Amino acid sequence: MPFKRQVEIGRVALINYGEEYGKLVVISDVVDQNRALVDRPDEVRRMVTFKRLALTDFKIDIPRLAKKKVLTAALEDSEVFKKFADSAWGKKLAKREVKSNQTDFERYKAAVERKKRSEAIKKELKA
Amino acid sequence: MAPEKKAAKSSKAGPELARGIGREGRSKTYKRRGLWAIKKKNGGKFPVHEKKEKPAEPEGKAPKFYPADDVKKPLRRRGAPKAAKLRASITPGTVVILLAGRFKGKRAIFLKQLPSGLLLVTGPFVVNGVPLKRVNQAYVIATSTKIDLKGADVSKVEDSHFKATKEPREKKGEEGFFKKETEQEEKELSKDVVERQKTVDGSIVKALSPELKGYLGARFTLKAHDRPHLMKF
Repeated sequence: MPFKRQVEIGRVALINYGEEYGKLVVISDVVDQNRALVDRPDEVRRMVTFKRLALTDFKIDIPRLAKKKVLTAALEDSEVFKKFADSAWGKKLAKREVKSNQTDFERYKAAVERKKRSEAIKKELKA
Repeated sequence: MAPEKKAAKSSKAGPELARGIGREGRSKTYKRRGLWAIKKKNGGKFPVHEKKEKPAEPEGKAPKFYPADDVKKPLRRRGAPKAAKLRASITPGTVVILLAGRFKGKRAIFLKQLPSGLLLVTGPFVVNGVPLKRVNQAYVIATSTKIDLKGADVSKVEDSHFKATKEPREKKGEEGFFKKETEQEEKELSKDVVERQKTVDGSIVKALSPELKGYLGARFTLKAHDRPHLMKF
C-alpha cells in the first residue's frame, strides 16, 4: 500500500515530543534522512528530527525555504490550521485539552452526566 | 580570606581608638551613659539590688551516686511558634479535599484559619457528615470551587472548642470490678457542639445548589490513569 502522507516541502506536521508538543509546523526543507527544517509564522525556522514529527493530511503550496511572508500567505489562503482543527485528529486533541483542564467540580459534573447517560442507554436496551 | 575588620568596637568609653583606649574620657563617658540620671532618681545613690539568698544546702551526707554522664538540659525556647501561612489557593469558601483521617476523600468547605494556624472546615454536616473540624493545610487539596459564605457566622468558633475532654476515671472498687464491660454507654454530644454546628451550617446549606450538594457529598478518589500531579483542581 502506498503511503498517503509524504515528507515533502509544504507538508504540515505536528510536533509530538518535547517542549513544543502539539505545535503545528510546516516542512520547508529536508536536511537529511533524519531531519527537516520546519517553519511556522512568527517563529524561527529550525531543525526537527522526523521521529518527533507526525505528518498530517495537509500540504500547502510553497517553494523550498520559503520566506516568512510567502509561508504566512500560503497558510492563510489554504486555512490549513483551521482545517486541521476541524479534522477528527484536531478535534481529538482539542477534546484532550479540555479534559486535562477540567477542575474537580467539572469532573464531578461530567461523571454525573456519564452516569445518567449510561442509565438511559441501559433502560433503552432493556426495553 | 579573613573577614574585614569591623569599625572600631565601642566600649564603655565610646568607640575605641586602639585596644583599651576609648575615644572619650571619664567625665564625658559618664555624661553619655546617663548614669547620673539614675543616681538623681534614686536620691544620689545607685539603686542596690539585694542578692537572692541561695537555698540552704541540705545537711547530711552527700549523695552516694551521681549520674555518670552529663544530663543535657534542653535549650530554652522563647516565644510561641507562629501560625502557618495560609496557601494562596485557600480562601474562605474554598472547597477542600481532605486527605487524611476518618474523612479522607471527603470534600469540605473552608471557613477560616484559626489562631493555631489550622483550617476550620465544615462538611456541611447534613450534606456529607463532615462536622466542624480543624485540619492542617498540608492534609488538604484546595480546589478552584468557591462557595458563597454570606451569612455564615464563624467568629465564635475557637481552637479551644476542639480540645479533647478528659473523662474522670472510674473508681476502682468491687462495684466497678463486677460491672459488665460489654455495656457501653453511648456518649452524647454536648449541646454546644450541636448548636455550633447548626448555626454555622444553616445559612451555608441554604445557599447550596443541588449540584453542589451532590458534589460535596461525593468522595474524591483516584482511579487508574489518574495523575494527580497533572490534574487541575
